[in-house]
Amino acid sequence: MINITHLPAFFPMGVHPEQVSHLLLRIKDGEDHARDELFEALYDDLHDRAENLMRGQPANVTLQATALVHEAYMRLLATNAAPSWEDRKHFLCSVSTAMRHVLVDAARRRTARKRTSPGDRVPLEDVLLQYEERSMDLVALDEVFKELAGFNPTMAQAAELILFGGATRTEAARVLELPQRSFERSWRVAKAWIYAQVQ
Amino acid sequence: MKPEQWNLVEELYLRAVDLPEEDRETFVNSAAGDRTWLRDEVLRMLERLPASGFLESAPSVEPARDLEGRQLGEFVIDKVVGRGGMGIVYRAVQQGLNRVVAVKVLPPLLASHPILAERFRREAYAASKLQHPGIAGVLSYGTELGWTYCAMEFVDGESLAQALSRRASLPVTEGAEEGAGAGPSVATFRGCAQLVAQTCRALDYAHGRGVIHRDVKPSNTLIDSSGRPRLIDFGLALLIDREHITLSGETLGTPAYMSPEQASSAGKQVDHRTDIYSSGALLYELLTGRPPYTGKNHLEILKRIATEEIKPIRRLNPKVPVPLETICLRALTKERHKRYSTAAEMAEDLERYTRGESIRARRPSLLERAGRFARRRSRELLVGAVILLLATLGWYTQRTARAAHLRAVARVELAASADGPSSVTLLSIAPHPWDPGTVSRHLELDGDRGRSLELEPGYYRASFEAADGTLREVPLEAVAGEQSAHTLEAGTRRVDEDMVAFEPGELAFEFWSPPAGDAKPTGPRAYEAEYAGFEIDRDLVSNEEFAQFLEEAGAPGEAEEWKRLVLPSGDLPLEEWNRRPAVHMSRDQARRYAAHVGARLPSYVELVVANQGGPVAAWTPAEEDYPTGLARALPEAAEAQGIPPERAAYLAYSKPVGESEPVAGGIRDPIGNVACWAEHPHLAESPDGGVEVGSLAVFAGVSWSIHGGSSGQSLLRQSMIAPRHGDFNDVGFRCARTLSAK
Repeated sequence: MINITHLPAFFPMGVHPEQVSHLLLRIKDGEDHARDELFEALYDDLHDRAENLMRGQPANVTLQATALVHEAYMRLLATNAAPSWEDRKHFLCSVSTAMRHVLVDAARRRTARKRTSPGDRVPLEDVLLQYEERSMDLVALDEVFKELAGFNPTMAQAAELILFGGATRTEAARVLELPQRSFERSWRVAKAWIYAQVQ
Repeated sequence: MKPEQWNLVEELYLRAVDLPEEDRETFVNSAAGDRTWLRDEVLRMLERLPASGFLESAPSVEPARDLEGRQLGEFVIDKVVGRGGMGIVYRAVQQGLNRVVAVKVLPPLLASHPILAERFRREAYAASKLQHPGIAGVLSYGTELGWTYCAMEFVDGESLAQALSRRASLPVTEGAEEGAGAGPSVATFRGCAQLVAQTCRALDYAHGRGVIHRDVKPSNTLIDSSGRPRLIDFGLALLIDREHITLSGETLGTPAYMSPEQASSAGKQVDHRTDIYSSGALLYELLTGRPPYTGKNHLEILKRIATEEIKPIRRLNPKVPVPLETICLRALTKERHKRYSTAAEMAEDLERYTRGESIRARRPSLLERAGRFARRRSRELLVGAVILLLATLGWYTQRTARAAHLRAVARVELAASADGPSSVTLLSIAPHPWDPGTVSRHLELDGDRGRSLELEPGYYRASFEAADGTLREVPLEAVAGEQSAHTLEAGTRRVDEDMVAFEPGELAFEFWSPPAGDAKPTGPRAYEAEYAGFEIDRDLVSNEEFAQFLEEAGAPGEAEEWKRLVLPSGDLPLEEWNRRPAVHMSRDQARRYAAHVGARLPSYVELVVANQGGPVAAWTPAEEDYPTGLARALPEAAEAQGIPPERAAYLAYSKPVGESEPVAGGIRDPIGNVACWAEHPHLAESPDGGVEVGSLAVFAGVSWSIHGGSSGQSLLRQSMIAPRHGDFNDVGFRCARTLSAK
């Protein structure tokens, strides 16, 4: 006899794509906490996925944040043949936020671990390094993004979409429902402001 | 900062930043006046402008520099020669043979994706079997250092894309006979026709071996030193689909040559005709200097391919000969069954043109070109769909190949056990799991006088309607070169109000591919299944009915065993329990019940159709109908009383059979009560290496305890491949039967 809950045997790790579809549906219906649930599901998923990939990869193989995001999307597609633009929009927002948290957490953990056991590789180390190579301190950026969100949540989200969700500026403008030109205008200023904060 | 302060910062910064550097400070000082916070903020931003690339995009790492000089398998990587959407192409030297090859490396993350990696491997393997002068063949495939790569013949020459960009002007002359040695020229119509004809020949060769290119375009067509076009990246482009392109934006090549079926939806199966379309697109560009569809971005191009008509060829280049235009339009027809049916046909027409003969293709009508995707009803397409399905399901091509050599005739004799006139409908069961069969023969019987008939060898269901109106459905195997006799017994069930009928139709759905042996399913695939008309129980089988069946026809002790598990022990009145849906039976028990009453279990496809009220959802569940994985929130009281959780869930959430309102389509309780077992006939390999009828244990429908939740669309399609002898607290069944062909 098999127990009540059908184990998601064919979704070996992380999020169940059908769950994502369902959450997207609820978001569309205006359920605000569905957004949080989606974020959490994606957070766990990205995190597990990164760790699993690390385990299976030789040391010189590099992980990419955008590829992880891409992959999460691919798996969503696998269940939902043609997600609407709305679905894609909500998904992109949530997955960017999730990716940001996964990475910032990893960066914090790494700092802590480096103190206790130097030389230890952490999952996502490679991804973090890619951000560092571009002189981006994720922990500092996270703080700046939070501050920006206080007075311009739209641009804070744009930054998140671009930096963690792999969105292009065009795509970000579309997600945020801004005409491309006004987006470019605001983005130019927001970027300068962020840059001034992290320098 | 406050939002309104930000607005001031934004305005001042934008005005200042475009001034010459030395004027900025003065300007800001005067504009900010006594608002020192504003001055400080903006000056700080202007002090050091963002470095270029700052926050432009998420970091990405290319394997290029990591691989140069390294060795992958027997290939020493030299340098990058090209970048495709799905990987980077290097020039490399094959050790030992010391020859130059091209090595394409799949990005690591794609390679680590089990579904994509498997598809890449399978296609590379198929492409490695191709040997044709028009194809740069795949030499080797491997994984090393975490990279998945594919080595191909290196073609020393430019691509058609390069040749086109070098071309001084559009072709305006027919062109004389080509001089010896020099290949066809893109400067003449005849040369263009020859190039595309040769490409089509290569494609036809590949199609004959089951390989589809999927990404025919000028940059994938190299012109070798003898002037001959050679297709590269055979079959490797399968990873490029609409979603990849729309998702990764600019990183992939152009979708301008994609067929409408590729462009219109994700996961849709394409067949060889996608290459015919793309060859047409290639010809179009050769003739007019631009691809059939252009747009500001990929999304726009894809949308146009799917919906818009192409710009008339002769408006772009009035000199284009009418026959070439006709060939091009025929290949570019949106509906694929109206294109050339094979690449060879297209090649022949192009060759006729180059020889100055008249072509075979008819000019597509305006309507055909516009491509109203008319309801696909034609028989041609019906057959096409089945062939398509066969062609694309690599999983069992092996099996169909085995089945193919059985092709001869089987002789079957059918007789009825009852007196009087009766009728039989024979359904052939296609060798794939989803198809409940197409009606192959309908015949009248008279009593026990047998009727003999010849059948294609294969698997059938005989749906028998006896003189007294009772029904029975039996499986029937027709073996090539053999004769078999079957006596059909009357059933116990009649067509009545208990069943709901569904017309024949076709269903598009996704399903995880069935496991082969012990392997895990590799991922969901999109399918289109034709189904015959069928009838299905309006209601789930109740506990009372199932108990009665086990008592009458069960194995010794079977009824007692089941009842021990399910009978209420004071937690539910017996009469109430009798009305609840039966659960905790294995799929095989459900199947025996169905046979006992002269019916069968529905196929997965039929269940989905019944649940949603037709091939497309005829209703949407109301908010309160959505299951929310309630099993996790079991009544605490039940736990306290020591009732097992699965039992408590059943007691709490199952609903009496036959009491709720039927949904559109006519059945009751498609969601929120119990899920249903489905019959899943397919051909499987038997232990001795032969072929046998297997059956996956699958259940479908949405019970109260589904995991997590589901979207509205797929809510009625929840499914799970289950252990064959497993039983569940939330899986019951209903019976189905094939609609008589009368």
